[in-house]
Amino acid sequence: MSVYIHERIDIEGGARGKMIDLIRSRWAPHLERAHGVRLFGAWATVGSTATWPEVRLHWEMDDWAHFARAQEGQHPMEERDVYLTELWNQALDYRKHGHAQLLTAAPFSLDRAAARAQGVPGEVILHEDVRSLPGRMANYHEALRAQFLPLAEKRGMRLLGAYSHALVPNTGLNLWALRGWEHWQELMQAESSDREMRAWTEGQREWLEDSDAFLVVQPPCGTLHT
Amino acid sequence: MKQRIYLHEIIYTVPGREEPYMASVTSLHYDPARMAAAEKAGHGKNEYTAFMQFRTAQTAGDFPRVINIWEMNWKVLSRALETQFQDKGRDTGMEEWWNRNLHLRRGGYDRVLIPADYSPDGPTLSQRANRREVFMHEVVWLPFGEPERYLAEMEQKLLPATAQFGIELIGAYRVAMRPRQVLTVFAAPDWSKFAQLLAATPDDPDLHTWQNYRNRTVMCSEDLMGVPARHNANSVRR
Repeated sequence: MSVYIHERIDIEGGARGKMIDLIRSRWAPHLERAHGVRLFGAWATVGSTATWPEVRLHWEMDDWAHFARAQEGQHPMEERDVYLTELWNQALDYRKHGHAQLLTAAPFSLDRAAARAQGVPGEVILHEDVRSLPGRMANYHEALRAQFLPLAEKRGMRLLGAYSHALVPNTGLNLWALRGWEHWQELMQAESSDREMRAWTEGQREWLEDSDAFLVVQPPCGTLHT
Repeated sequence: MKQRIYLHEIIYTVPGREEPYMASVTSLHYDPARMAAAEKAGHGKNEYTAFMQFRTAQTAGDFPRVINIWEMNWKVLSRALETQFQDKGRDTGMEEWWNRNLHLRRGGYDRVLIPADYSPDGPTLSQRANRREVFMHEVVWLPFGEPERYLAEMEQKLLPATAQFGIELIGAYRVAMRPRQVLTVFAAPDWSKFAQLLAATPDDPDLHTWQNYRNRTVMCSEDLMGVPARHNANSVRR
């Protein structure tokens, strides 16, 4: 079972593109080479749908044993990983602060290799934060798989992953790949009249306390100037 | 216009810089260099219409904040977002503006709003030319499935009562991709009208009925009071 670290990074000024480029060009290749940690996604939060300026990072590890090795290899970074220390200090100019979530994936999630092998598009991602009613996350995931996944796939959405927080009870997130901006526009325009989707949304009260979604995107290298 | 939607922004402004920030936002509509760059990039003219703009009055809720609301449709928003993250069709004028004004704001939180049928559009509000000196802005969290009922209850129970006090509905919306939220904005011509509304709420039968419904239904709310931007056309001041 893969383990993930999902980071939300609050960006300083106009450095969102610089932070993403640093992660892609140097940070991620280093972490993968030195510790086997894979970058699943480095995304800019679409400011018109949520908090800005913000970057989201999603790191993948094989299992808890790999997680332990990778963390031991990195920390404390000043003693164990001089290049990571350099990157960390360089990124201080780009970020204010952040928040990380330690996640496990539901079995019907895709890992990075599977997502790539299946050619899942990655330009526009729908990110859903979910909070379940106490003790209901597993039931929610089962309903998501059995009830919602067929509806979503019929509408062209591809589930990348449904995740649970390993430490914080009743907390999780879902990542859905969309085909692109026109696809998002189509989904939003249909939202008011799509009875199946509305029934699912209303029915979530059986398992969820709350659900908030927004968009994240993967800009081509060097293109984001804000 | 096709299906109306609104881009709603809560801006975390640098303290004391609210008015310069709001003027800077409004200036986007008058910058010939930016308009030329936008046209060259194929964005066309006036696709984002400034709908409403105000800042916090430090009477309720977090401050300092500025609220920007823009009127548009899904196609316009989708195309604008697409060009933000690609080299093709980049709005370099907007990028330059965005980076030039970093000293006025520290960040923000945006929502896309879907209006209730009775929620007025920009031209309607402009035509009324009402005086709007005080804004009441609220986001409420409701049970799944309740937002449309909440908006219907608001139309039937609250709006007739607020009209008696000269309080005007600016907008009543569901929030796209956030199924439990409703966002509403009201405006009063002055503080005394707003105070009269609050004073009457316990005894006025219609307001009392509405409050009972709200107390049973709203699970969480974030409220703030605002005053209009000095430059904004839709916050008519006298």
